[in-house]
Amino acid sequence: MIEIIKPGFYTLIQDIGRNEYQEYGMPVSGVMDRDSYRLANYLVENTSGEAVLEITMTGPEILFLEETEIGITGADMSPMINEVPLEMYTTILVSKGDVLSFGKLKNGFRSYLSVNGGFEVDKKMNSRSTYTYASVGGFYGRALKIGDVIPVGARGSVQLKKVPEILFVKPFSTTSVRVIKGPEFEVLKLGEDSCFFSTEYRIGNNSNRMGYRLKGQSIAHDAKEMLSTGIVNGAIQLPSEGMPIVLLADAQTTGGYPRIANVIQSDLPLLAQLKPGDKLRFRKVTLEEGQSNYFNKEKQFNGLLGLSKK
Amino acid sequence: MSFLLKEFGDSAVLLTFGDHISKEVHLQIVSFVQEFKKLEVIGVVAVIPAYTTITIQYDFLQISYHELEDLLFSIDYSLKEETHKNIIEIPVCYHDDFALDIKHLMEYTGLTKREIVALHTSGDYLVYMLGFTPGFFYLGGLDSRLFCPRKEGPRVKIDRGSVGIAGSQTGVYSVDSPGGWQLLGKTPFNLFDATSDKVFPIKQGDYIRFREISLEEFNAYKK
Repeated sequence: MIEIIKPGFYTLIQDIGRNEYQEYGMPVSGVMDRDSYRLANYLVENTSGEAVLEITMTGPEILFLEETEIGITGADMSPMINEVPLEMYTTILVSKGDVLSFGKLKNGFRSYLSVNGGFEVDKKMNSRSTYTYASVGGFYGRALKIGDVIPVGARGSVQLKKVPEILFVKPFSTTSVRVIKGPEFEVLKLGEDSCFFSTEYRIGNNSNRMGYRLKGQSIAHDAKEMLSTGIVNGAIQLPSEGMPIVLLADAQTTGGYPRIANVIQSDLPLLAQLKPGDKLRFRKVTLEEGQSNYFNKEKQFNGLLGLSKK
Repeated sequence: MSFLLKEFGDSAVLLTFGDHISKEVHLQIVSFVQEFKKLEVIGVVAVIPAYTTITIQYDFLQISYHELEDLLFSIDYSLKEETHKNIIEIPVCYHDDFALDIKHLMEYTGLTKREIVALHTSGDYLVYMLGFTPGFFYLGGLDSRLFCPRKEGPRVKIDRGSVGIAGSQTGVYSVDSPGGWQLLGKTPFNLFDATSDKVFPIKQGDYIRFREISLEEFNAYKK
């Protein structure tokens, strides 16, 4: 078990999410950065989709009530054990009574903390992911608070591991995000010459796990009102004022704005590590290019880590 | 009878069956989803039916775009007779404590409260789709005498179970949320219960019938 001494800005229990209820209007939820999530679980040899803590912007302070192994991946928030800095992306043995804390956010936006055996809250609708909007899953359906004691699954034997540096979250001055054309791409007045592909956008302040509102040059379009229709993770909507919105893990399952583009699967983790004010650009690729990027990433993960699929 | 298939990101496809709300398109979609689910295709992650579209998410490590495309075009979803109407009764209390916008509705429609309640409980409403929030359904079939535009400014918080009218639509808030519908009642019936065996009691293609209950029945229902 662990006890939350300080919760940090926004700390949630998440796993891979729940897909199968989308036809009833239930968002997927789950971790925003699936790559860092997989790496965190890899470090403690969790192989069954165990839940981790998704830590946003500022880290929590956590007391370990038993000896165990942990892993920290994703954003670098200067993690420390008993105030001594520790290495990320490596298996760490913690003792009963140790306190994990975090300092300055150095890069990225979301860190992932895994524990040997996973955080073992009850599954709701086949997942431990927290969906705060409807108070479902995780720990009482909410972000963690002071005094919460979170159960941990059975501790297995673990060999100490390191993630190769090539897989670490890296800071970019402007992140390049690849997209393929969306189903309503044709609403862009200039098509492929639209400023959507040439403008540098910034992540707006009112961005969250549901979606990122982008700020930059307004896009010329002749969008008509649409009937509500399905949404997928990474879909980019264009509301009438012409500022795109990227829909993410907690997005509604349906919406009525034109979907001008979709972020490819393999680049979604990049978005998860952007914070309000960060810059990004979109680059168009084909469906085949998008999918082969993901295949290559799978190969890279499997090769470097000997990971089995997902 | 046919549909248009489009790429929707690198891990979904979008099937479009029409461009406006119609019962015929709706029935095609319900039938297509039924037939498709029977196949239990490996690699299909989720199916999201809507008014005129179906979004199908897939894992391209397990099934390729072209395999999925071929399979989708091979599905026979020709319409069968609508043999069985699955009608679900939802108890609604129209007491003034819950009918927060009844005065506005009366003014706008020129009807008395009794007339409004009688019309609202008179028909069977078809569930065209679910979305917006978990368990929220979009209904068709509201009597045109009850049409009323949504509020100019939305309320910050509307209780789960609140029943409202917006334009030509009527519906029930499935979770506490902000919203701009004109409220005329509240149901104790839960449209979404993550702890229940049946998390979502209502699905696309069902019919909803509203039944009036008293405040006493409402409170008794809540236990």
